[in-house]
Amino acid sequence: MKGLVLAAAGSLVLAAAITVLLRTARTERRVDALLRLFVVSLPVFIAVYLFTPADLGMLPASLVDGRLAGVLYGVAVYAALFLGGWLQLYNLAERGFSLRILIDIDEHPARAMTRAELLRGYGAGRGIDWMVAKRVDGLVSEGFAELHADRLVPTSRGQRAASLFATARAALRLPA
Amino acid sequence: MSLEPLALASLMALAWTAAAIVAHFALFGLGRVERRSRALVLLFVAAALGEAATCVALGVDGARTLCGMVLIACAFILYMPLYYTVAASFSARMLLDLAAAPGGLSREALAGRYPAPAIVAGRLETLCRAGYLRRDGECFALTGKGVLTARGFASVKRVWRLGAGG
Repeated sequence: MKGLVLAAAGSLVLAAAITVLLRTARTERRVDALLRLFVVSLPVFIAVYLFTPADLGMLPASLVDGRLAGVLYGVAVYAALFLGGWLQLYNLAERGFSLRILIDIDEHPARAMTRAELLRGYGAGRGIDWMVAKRVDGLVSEGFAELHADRLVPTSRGQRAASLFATARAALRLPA
Repeated sequence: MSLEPLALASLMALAWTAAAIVAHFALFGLGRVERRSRALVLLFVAAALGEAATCVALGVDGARTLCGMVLIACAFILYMPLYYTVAASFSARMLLDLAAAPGGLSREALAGRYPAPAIVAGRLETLCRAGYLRRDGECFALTGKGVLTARGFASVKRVWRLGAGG
């Protein structure tokens, strides 16, 4: 149980650190910065686990776990809360296409928009073409594609990712 | 050698998570699934219930059983974004387009495969079906669920100073 308690508490501390980082850092590569913050926090989490009492001074003896199982469990939950929780929240807030549409409609004076207005006004007035261009640029800046004589070609990393996506999509019979 | 309760519950959670993922591929690969998100949620709920039943059968106490179910919830929040990246991400689909085109594509040709009106029309239809938007003549307006989602994420954007995004 100590692993679960510390993972939950650690995740809240991490959320506070993420907030400070995002409000103060001027880096363009914010996902990398968040990942670095998480990696740095991991040994701290493990140290806190190892150097605090097994019962945290409050847990009944029946809820005290072995050290190895406890720390592995705590790290697993702590990592999942960051990778599946805070990082996903960031990705959705920063890149979510559907969410941006909802926010654009909510911020429109009439609280309703036609399809044509959405095409022009998407992304706080940038327009939908900006969204497509942003994704294309992202493939290059994240190392999945590179420019060769004005043509975008996948890098080896991009090829591996594409092959993985294609295999998964075929196995799940996802429509093209 | 006997395992301590937390280790046993964790191993069972791993096994049930693996079963949910195998069932996901089997169900989607072999059958025709209309409501894919709901099916995936149900598979993980079934895995959590399976975990509870297995732990009870193995004599694991309630607290460690709960820990095992939390692990399955953790697997779920990791697996869902992965699935949606494969299933719906524009970037992933663009990468597939590039990989399938010998010699690659120009920026214009790649962007041209994603015509703005069709993209927006498709997403508006999805948002209406999911209950976030309602049609009001030519306009689209938020439902209560849509307002909650939009304002919740707008607050996150403000607190984290993320800018317009999208």
